[in-house]
Amino acid sequence: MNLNLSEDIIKGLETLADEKLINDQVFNHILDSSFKVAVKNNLDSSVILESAVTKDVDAIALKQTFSSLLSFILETMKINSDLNSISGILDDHKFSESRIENILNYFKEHRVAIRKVLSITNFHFPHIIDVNWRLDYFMKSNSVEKLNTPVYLINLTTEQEEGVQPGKVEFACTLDQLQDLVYKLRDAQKQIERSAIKS
Amino acid sequence: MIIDLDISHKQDLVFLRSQPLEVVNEFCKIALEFIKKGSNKKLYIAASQKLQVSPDKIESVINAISYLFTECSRFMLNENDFNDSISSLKYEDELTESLRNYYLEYRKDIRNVLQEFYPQFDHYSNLEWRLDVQIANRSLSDTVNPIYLLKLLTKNGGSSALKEQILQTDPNNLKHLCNELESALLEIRSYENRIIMRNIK
Repeated sequence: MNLNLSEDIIKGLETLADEKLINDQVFNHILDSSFKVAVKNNLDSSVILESAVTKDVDAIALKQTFSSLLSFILETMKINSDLNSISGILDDHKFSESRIENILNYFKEHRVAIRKVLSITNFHFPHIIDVNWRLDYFMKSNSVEKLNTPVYLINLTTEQEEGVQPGKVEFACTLDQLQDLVYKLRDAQKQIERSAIKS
Repeated sequence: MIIDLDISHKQDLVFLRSQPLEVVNEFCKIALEFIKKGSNKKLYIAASQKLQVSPDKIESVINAISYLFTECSRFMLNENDFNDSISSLKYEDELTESLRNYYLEYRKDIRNVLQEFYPQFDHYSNLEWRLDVQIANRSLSDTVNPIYLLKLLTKNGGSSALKEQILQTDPNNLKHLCNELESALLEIRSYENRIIMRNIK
């Protein structure tokens, strides 16, 4: 799959490669901050724009290089480019060898973490992450006596998005209903093993 | 145990003594309708014209029969207890038998109606599932992520509509879910729980 970078991003990358405009200290700062943002360690842009290290650099150039590098990181990680092709692209855009090596080290270290962040940057249905159950023996109520039947209360914990309060799905089952439910879930669970064997 | 009928109900039920069996059966049928669906004034007026009594009288007789049936169903009275409960009305044997048969035949239905009056939870009704493998999304391509989509159908009470919920989970969590619910099923068969259930009367 081909990397899809706009002209603006390419221009930003070339600015970043220019050692006269961006000295090594600033470069390292931008590089470090970009990867921190990519793995969602730090989402505060003031760190990069208002740092003492970058105060002598033109603000527009700084924003441009920062956003270009971040786009570059996310796009390459989206298609899971290998280090060779990343280094090839950087080389095409006039990065020095030491800078390329520096960038590749960051990719080596953060590849898995970034792809994990990308995989959960999405919408989904409430995701079941845990279950709680309770077994009651239902004896009588205000309107009926001698019911004497077991009732299960099932409580599913669901997660909608990372960091959001987990949701709850509650329902009751008789013994027969629970047996039916477990049978169907087991069947579903076995299905993935069957598919794995076939392929 | 026997059911205590109060004086007004007794007076209404005594009315049945003077009626032929078919009429009594008709009353039982209307009483069952009353329990299931509430009162129906039209039926009372039709019956009152046929039997030459006031609609109010018909209504109170129906109420009395309904009361008798629901209370007996509520406590699951057996045949003998039912007979004892209405013995003070001094019915003919045939009439007692006809009422009792009606009661026993419809006890289950009446109990089902009564059950709707207690606080209900959503009850499990059905589960549909499908297995998807997510292979890409906007921010990530070249990935393999198995996802189970589950459609959980629940129902609140006997007559209400099904409620649908779409949930999802992954293979690991599904396995955990299965294991937990299976242990819940095993719990009911444990020795301690069987003793408890046997001893609750």
